[in-house]
Amino acid sequence: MTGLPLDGVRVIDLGVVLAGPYGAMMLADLGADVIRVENPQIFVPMTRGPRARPSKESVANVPSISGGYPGRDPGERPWNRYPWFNLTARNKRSMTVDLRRPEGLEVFGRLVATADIVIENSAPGVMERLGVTWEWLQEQKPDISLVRVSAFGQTGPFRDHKALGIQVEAFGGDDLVRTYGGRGPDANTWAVPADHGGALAAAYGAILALHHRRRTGEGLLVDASLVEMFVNLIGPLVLRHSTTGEAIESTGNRSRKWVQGCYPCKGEDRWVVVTLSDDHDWAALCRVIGRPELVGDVRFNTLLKRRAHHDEVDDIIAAWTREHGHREAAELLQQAGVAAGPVLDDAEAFADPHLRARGFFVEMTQADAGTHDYPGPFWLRNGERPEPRRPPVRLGEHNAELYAELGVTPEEYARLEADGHISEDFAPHIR
Amino acid sequence: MGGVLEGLRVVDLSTGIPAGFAARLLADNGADVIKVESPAGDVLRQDIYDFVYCNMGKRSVVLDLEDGDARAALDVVLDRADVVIESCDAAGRERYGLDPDRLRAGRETLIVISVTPFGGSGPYRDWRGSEHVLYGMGHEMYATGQPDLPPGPLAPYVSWLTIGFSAAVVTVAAMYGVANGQGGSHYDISGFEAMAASIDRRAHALVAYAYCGDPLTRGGTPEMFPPHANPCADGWVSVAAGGLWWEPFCRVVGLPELAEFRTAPAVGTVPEDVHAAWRNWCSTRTKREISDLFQGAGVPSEPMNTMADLLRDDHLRSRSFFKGVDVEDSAGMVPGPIVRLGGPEQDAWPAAPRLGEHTTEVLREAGVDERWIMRLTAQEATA
Repeated sequence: MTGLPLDGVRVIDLGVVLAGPYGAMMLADLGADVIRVENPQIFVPMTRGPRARPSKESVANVPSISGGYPGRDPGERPWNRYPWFNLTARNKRSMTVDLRRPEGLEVFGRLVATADIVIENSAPGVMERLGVTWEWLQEQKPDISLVRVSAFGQTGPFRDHKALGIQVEAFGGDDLVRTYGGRGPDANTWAVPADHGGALAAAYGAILALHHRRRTGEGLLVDASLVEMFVNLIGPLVLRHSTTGEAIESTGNRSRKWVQGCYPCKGEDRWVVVTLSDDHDWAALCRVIGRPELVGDVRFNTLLKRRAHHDEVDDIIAAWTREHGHREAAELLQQAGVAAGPVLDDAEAFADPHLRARGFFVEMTQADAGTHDYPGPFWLRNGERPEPRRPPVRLGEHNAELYAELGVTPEEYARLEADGHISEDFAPHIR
Repeated sequence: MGGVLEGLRVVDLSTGIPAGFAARLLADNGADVIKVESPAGDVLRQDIYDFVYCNMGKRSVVLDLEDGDARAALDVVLDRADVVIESCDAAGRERYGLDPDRLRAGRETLIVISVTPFGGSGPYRDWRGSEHVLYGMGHEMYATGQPDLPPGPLAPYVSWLTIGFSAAVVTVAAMYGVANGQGGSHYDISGFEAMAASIDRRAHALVAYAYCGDPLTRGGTPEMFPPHANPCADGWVSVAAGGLWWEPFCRVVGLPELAEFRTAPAVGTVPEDVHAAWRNWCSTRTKREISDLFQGAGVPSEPMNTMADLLRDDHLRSRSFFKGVDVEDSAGMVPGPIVRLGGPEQDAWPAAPRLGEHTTEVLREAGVDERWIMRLTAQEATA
């Protein structure tokens, strides 16, 4: 009993890379019993690492976000030490089985019979090739729900398109509306907002399926398209364009409505974001920066005029921010009621006093990765952030208990282990 | 399956985009969402597109919470609610008696969802947030863009609406818990934390930082050839040719200049004549032609779509993705469901409510006395 809202719900996590596993973890944080089913005979790149067994040299100089094993050392079992994976792996259990073989599929069927939700985000067709179809799942458990996340959804002419996060972003319209002012999308660097939205969509679809089953007794097949989800996240631009015919130009760091910018501060590569929505904000800013005479200046005394003279306003603000640290500038402006914030790098965000005061980071100790602080659940319930129930799950960590829960006898277990279904290591031939 | 939340009542006391969008997502799925507005209306009404997008399918009730009788009427409405979504700052909570604990007092199964920029506790609790402020603080803005330029933008709305979507996930989970016999609860959702939890780089960059101690920087991730954004005959196209895709990429392009590279090289190491040959290859083809050629060879490639491209895209049309919606006296299109639950879908989505359009009907349903309703609506008319 977790006392959390999804207490008693069992989720099978077949997720790969980021969106599926992270969506499943959101459900785990909310109280569900989430079981990762992993294949020790197959390594899906970028899920538990770029490769199963990368050399220390090969990860020494890659950016930490894509190769940042603890201390830059892949260690004995790199798949239990990979930051992408470990971010998405708390509060889960893991069992291994090779779904490509009949006896593996049979064990998986037994697990499905105990589950409420299956989440998968492989390319369309992968589940079908394994025989894990919607129909097969329903035969194992009539009221099961299947949440499928893919780039283009499960139907339509582009269903089988190959796409990484950045292609989803290109197709979904992001690239052309997020360029710097006056620059093309070739000045954009990679961003994958659809991956995060995909994780939310997986969790959202799963919970709505639970509501549906409660009302009707039936499961649901949920189709989450990353492209469609992403277009929802820029929906007001679609609505504006479709209603007025107006072309939607990127606003860069500015805003379509207000005065806004990203201004340089004292120190190397330090910046503050300021948003001025009305006359009060302008007057407050002018006082903070010691230029009260500008409040009534005819060039700036309405929002429309400030926007018309945006470059001059930017120069006035930047002249002041350059003399102040980014935190100091933000604090002085916030004390006067102006929306402002320092642009925080990872080190600053990791140490941020507000995030720390609210317990956003949770410390977890995992046998292979050691003890570290991780971003925790993004919500507080009745004033508290729930303590992690389990640290980032290791490959096959719960084989013994889960196979026992499924009624597998010790003899069967030994045979499945000998046949390479049950393991805490990827097969030796996988580099 | 538009009705999975049918029968559930949500009172939306919020203003602005994130909380408003969270409540709208519940309306999309059949919840009865009652938006309570001041006589002046939600500040979002100043931008009709934002307002419609975040409020389609809700009912609008005007209650002037400065007035004791209106505040009492709100309590009657709240007594029938399953969920309250609010975005008040500390001063507003104090002034209108909207503190989450006070809202929950005597309402044992009520779920209160607070969606604010920085949450209800901590040193920045009273800070004001804009979308860009939360992106700059919480998200990976610092490492987005070019090293010789300021940190760069994400698309407008993506951060705001991601925060709202995050809140909706928590809300439907809480509703499921209550439907299964749990008590009510209060969830405090901070935009700053919803951003810092984003796997659009920030959350796993924080773990990588904890593991290795180096923060992401702008320009810290070398780009592989071909670049992500490539100009072509009618716009821009994205191509990825790393790893196993390099060989089929070269085969499709057929440029002898590429033969010397066995794998995708870093953009910076590619000689100018190779760049020129590639740009020239792209310049004679449209983004759709290029994407089709590469997809035909199993190489990831997509056009960089404009809003107009999206609205006429064959794939999205085949899935009947866009839906019509009224925008005052005009009509526009909005994206379809954020996830598909199967079953029939309407071609059009319900309109956003006019200010106070449903005041009388909602107060009557809640059992507010007719004379009281008349007085409150008369006050509103004179306000």
